[in-house]
Amino acid sequence: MCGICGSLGGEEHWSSGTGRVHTASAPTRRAERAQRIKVINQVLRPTRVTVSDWQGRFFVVLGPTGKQQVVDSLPHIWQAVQEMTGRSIDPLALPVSGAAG
Amino acid sequence: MTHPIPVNVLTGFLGSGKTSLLNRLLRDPLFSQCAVLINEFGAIGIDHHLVDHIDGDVVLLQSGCICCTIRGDLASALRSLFERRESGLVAPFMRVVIETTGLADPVPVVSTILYDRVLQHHFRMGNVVTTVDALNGSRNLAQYPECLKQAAVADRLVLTKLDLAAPTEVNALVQQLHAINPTADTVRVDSMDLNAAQLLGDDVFDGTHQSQEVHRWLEFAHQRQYLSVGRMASRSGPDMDRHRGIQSFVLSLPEAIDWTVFGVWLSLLLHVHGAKVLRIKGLLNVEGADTPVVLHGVQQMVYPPMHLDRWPDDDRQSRLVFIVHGLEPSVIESSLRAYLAQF
Repeated sequence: MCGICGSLGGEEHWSSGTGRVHTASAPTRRAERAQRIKVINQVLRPTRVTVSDWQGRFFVVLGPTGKQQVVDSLPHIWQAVQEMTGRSIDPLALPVSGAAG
Repeated sequence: MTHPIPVNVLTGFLGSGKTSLLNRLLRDPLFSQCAVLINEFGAIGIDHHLVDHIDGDVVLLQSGCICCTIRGDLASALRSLFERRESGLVAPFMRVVIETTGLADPVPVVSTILYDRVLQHHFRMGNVVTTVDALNGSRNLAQYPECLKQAAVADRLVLTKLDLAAPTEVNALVQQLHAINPTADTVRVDSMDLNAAQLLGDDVFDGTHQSQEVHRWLEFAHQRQYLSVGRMASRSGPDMDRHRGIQSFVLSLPEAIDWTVFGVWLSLLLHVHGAKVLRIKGLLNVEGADTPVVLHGVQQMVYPPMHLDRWPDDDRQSRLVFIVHGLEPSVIESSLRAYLAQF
């Protein structure tokens, strides 16, 4: 639990590899999380939704109208995006439109 | 911290021999410290095994196993059983076997073990064992989606009632099962032999069998001539139609993959299409990692990934076996490649 805000830590999602999947590119939890948020924001670019980190434990999802949701894992990010934009991002609907820039 | 207790799910269509198999497993000395969760005592016919009523819905069997009925929901039953174990009211069982009903979907059971915030700290998943009746299995697979789903999510497929079916029928059923679920070990149970350890004990989450189990997935996929996506274009349609749109394929990636991008892609795929992804199993070559990573999932659920100590063979490609329902393999492959290339 965070001593300042009292927030309980969310359960680790399987994709959060720290401690389980060891890679040279993301040697620390913080680096891995920053890299993940960067990729998520690239995927979300066409939707005008952005994601940022909060306390290293949660994600803040900011919609195109200024609406915000605090969530704790990737599936909840996709759910929040769906609720804010009214549609889901289908990874099978190519081409990938949020190419790195 | 104590090791989590493995939980096996024993499932199978109506009349496929789950109870007979369970009765035989309960007699195996290797599994004498088991707790068995069933829906009702009457269904399993345990009277001849019964030694004592312990507490309410829990009974002690001759083998030393305890047996408990599920009243209400599964999570409560498991929590209650664990509390009784911790307080010494029941013997310290080392494994739990949950027998589902014949029409049950085993996926919610797996979900309960993986995601219940209490249970996930005390239990872990073991093999999903599915019984298939050699006499009626083929017809049931064709007619009942419940039966098909039970076969698709299995780690072990147990063929029962072999004495009632002709060898040609049995072989045809085995081929059918391999087409539905290429990574499952298919075990023929006759009246004499039953390797309980192979069914229940040897699983991918057990460190001593991990490498062997992964090697088996990949070997089965290879032996059963599982088509890689590139070769599927020439595959004729009837195979897929016969199994109500379920098909399996191997996706191979020669380059090491970026774990972060892969995680984002797979979580998105499962968010949108999770109900159609019945199973994913495989080995990943992750960028910057010295050892391969085992990936294992059932529908929207992915087990915590694990590193193997070493590669099980000389092939260093990432290889993922997908069992999907109504999704086009080439589209899945194109999508993953596009994500890995662009992010």
